[in-house]
Amino acid sequence: MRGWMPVAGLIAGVMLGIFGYPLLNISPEVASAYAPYLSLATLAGLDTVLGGIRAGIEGRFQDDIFVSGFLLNTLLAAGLAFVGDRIGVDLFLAAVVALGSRVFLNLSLIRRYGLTKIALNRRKEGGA
Amino acid sequence: MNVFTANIRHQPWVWQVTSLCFVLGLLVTVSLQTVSSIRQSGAGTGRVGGPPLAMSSLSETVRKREKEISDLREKQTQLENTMAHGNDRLKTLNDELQKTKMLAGLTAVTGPGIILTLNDSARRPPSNRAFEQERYNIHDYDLQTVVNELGASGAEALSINGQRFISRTSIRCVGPTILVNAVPMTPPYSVQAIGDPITLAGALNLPGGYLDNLRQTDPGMFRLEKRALLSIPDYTGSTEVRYMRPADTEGSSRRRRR
Repeated sequence: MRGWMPVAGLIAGVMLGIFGYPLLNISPEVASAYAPYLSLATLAGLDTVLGGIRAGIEGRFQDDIFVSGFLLNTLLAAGLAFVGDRIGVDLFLAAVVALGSRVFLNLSLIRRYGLTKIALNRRKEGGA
Repeated sequence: MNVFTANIRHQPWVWQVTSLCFVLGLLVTVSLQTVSSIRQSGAGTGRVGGPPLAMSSLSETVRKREKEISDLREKQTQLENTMAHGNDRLKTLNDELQKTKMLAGLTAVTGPGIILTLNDSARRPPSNRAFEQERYNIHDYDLQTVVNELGASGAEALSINGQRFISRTSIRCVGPTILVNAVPMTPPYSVQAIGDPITLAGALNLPGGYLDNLRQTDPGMFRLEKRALLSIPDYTGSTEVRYMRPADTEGSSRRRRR
């Protein structure tokens, strides 16, 4: 059952977002200033979560690497976006591509581990 | 049966992934809601450094400057009136000047008239053919027709969505917007005209006229109101003149010609 904990966490976060956001009452002008950074932070968060799950399955999970990775990735992505905005080059694309490709890599590995495990269990049940 | 069950017993990482998943869910939701609120406000898609951001702050600046121009011109009129006070000859000159400025559209004016609101049709065009679809939207030539018709029936002052129609005004189509005085606008378009309300409304409603055609497409595309009193703002654009000058009267012509 503990495998579904992250999913429960995700749903709780979404709920808080849905009901909490209107209370903040942010004007669209302000929102349009920070929206791109928020999107990048979301991508960094997705990357870290999938990376954490993958490391956990591989048995190499370290909490300090996990948390610091999330914070640093977010800051670097936001920093790139900010600098790119200033110098007129879409540097945030670098963060989007790098994080995006890692998300897909991690997801494919997790899928592979999961399917392998299911196949192994089937074989065990079939053999017994 | 899922990915985690075999490996996760007595391991702390699930809790940490869970807490970060919570943060992730929060980020995703706030991000989505932010972008949708930006879309609703029409400020753009919220991409880094995109033109929509610059656009919204620039148009704010333009609005402020236009207000400033309007205020300054009003002040100028007041000063001219003060100057002419008590002196008959100056007063005659000033009366002429104020009348000319009113004709040129440099002063806000009030009077009876009509308001015609035009909007794109909410109905689906009956076919996909381009000429059918075109009839269900308001175009630059619709506004040109209306303004022309109103001018022909004696409208003395005209404005479209608050932009004063003067002798130098152009109405043209750029993408999904219509530029009037080089100011982009989107539907609904509110055409205000000062003149005899009955004549103006009658001219627009002539059988075979503009509104008659529009009514056959979709009567919901326009609303025509007569008003006993409406006010039309002044022209706030540039009045710079680079090429034209008064035509020379005889005698002075030779001296001025280069």
